[in-house]
Amino acid sequence: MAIVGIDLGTTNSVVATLDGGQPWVIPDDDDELLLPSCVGLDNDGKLLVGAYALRQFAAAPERTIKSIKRQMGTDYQATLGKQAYSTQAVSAMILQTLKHQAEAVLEETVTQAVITVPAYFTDAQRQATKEAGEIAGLEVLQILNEPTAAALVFDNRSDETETVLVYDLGGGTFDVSIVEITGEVTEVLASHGNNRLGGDDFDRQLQRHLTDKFQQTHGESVPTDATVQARLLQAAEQAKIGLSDHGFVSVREPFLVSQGATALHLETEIAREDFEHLITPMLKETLEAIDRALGDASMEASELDRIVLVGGSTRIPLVQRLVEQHLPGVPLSSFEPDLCVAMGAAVQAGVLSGAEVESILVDVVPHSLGIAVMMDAGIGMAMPGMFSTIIPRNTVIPTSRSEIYSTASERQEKVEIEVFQGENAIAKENIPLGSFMVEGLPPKPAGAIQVEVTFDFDISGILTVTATEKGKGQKESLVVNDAATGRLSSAELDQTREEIAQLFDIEGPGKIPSPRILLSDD
Amino acid sequence: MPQSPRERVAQRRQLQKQQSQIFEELLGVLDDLDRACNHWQQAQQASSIGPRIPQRPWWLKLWHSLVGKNRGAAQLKAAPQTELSTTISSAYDGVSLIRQSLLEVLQRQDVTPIEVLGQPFDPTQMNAIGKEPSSAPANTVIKEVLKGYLWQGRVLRDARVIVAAATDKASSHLL
Repeated sequence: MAIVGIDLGTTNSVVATLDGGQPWVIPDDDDELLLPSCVGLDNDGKLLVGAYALRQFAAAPERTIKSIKRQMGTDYQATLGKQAYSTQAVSAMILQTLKHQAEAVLEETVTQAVITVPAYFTDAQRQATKEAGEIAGLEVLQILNEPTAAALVFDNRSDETETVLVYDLGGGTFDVSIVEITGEVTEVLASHGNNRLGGDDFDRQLQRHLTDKFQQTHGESVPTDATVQARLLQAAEQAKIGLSDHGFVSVREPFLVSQGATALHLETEIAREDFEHLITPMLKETLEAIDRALGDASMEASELDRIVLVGGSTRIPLVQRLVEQHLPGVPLSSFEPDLCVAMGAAVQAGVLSGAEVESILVDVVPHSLGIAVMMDAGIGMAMPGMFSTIIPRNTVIPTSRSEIYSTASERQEKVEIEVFQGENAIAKENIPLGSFMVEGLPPKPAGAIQVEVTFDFDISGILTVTATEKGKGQKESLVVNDAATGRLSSAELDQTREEIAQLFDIEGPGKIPSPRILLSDD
Repeated sequence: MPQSPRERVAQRRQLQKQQSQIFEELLGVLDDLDRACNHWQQAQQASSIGPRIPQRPWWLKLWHSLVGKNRGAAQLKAAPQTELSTTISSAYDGVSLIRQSLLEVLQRQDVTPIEVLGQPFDPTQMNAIGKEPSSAPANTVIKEVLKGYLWQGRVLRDARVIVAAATDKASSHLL
């Protein structure tokens, strides 16, 4: 008999269990890890749960139910066809699907579960969730707070009290919680959020941006018909995902609009900076929620022991950067942000059932990786040989990060990419990993040529550095085979951070203002 | 030692990912070729209809035939029209051939398109992005926004479709 942990989410739900003391997420028949929290009846009255139900939502909203979690604990009756169902019954359909999914993969019966709920859920909402589990044929061992579950992925319970801020930005909801964890006791100190904010809003902003680009290019408005708008929304979503790893992405939508024999295409490039500009106002709202939560908990940022990022939208580099800047000096953890709540629930299920639970081991980059550049060292003038971090230390691998740099001098013909590993603000004080040249740059004024430098760090510890000149697309790369990884538990991570913080001034590495970074000419 | 469910799933996912990734990328190219074909086909139809020449009264036709007026002009106008039709037609034929070749390559790998137009909406293979009034029965696919494909009988990508909305008459009948 297996025990599972379930993240019963507003948009998606996930089921996880333990294997050898470590949590893992159980996929469905189609190898999907996320089950859309959606229930429906097809045209013949057959029950649909998950992706199939979601796919019919636009065609048959009258027999499809989404976001039932928002109604948990109320008397709301959801209608499916001619029948009304309680919120518990609808949630039970989702839970039962996850139960069957787990049983099919594990080839054994699943009867017990830990189910997560938001920290702000009332007793009535928690009770309704528990009842949903029971209807689904599960003995609910515990209703666990989502932020607590997320924190558990990074830390096995210790007796020391830890104050954790969990920042959860998903596809359609946002919440921030401050929890105090002492052994098996978790206290939610404060919680705030906006249940109408998430990655879907970023997609729509980017869709509007693409619409504007089309209008600028062709002097024509984009037709409002569903086909064209669906293509633009999909292109926006793909661009958003691409911009988490790259400084620029190309959007190509050929034959977007036909006018007789003339076809109008959309071909444009979106810089990460443009995307960040579009979403910054929405992200500032999330920072205000952090302040409100801190205020409610009567705490200062410096009293936090850790930040945990949860939800797929926290993969956006700006999200991580803004949260780090807003709460300076607080260590930040992020690992599988879509899945970590379910994994934490599985850890808790293991603890409750007496299974041996190991602390989660994550492969991390033990030292920051970056290149030597000319940049403002905080004294108002650009200095050569400064260290620009591209992959910060303790980033979970595999990872791919990139930054955009521009030329430092007039008619600069080449740039040297010198790769270093370390935490010192002066590049030469760190460990050199190698260097290479990008030559034959077109003669242009200083700052006119942009070079994207991408660091790909794979699971085997191999670092591939690629520099691409944006205009002509010239590309050079370097492979470093011995950029060792560290395999640290979360406790070791914290200890390392503390040691480094003592060695360096906490305001030291990584805090240098860099409004415009320039690549140095050799 | 037998594999644990976790190891079995990880192995299956890795294999599937490797195999399906290349197909998914090729589908993007095939989508663009589909759009090009649709565009040139529409342009071909538009050019074969040609510009409408207003009907002239019989006496004006007679007068023009007597004096030979406009005969040359009509021939001059017809020539570019034919040239445009030929250009459009050859563009359509060329793009169709490329599309066909790519489709055949994919078919050899067991990747096949999902037929949707005129079919009842099937959530296991289709994704509805909207519904529109239509004379077709409710819940029938009336537009295909993005073609869907199967790979070895599994859905590689669902088809994005628009379905016929139930008319008031149909709704009241159901009630």
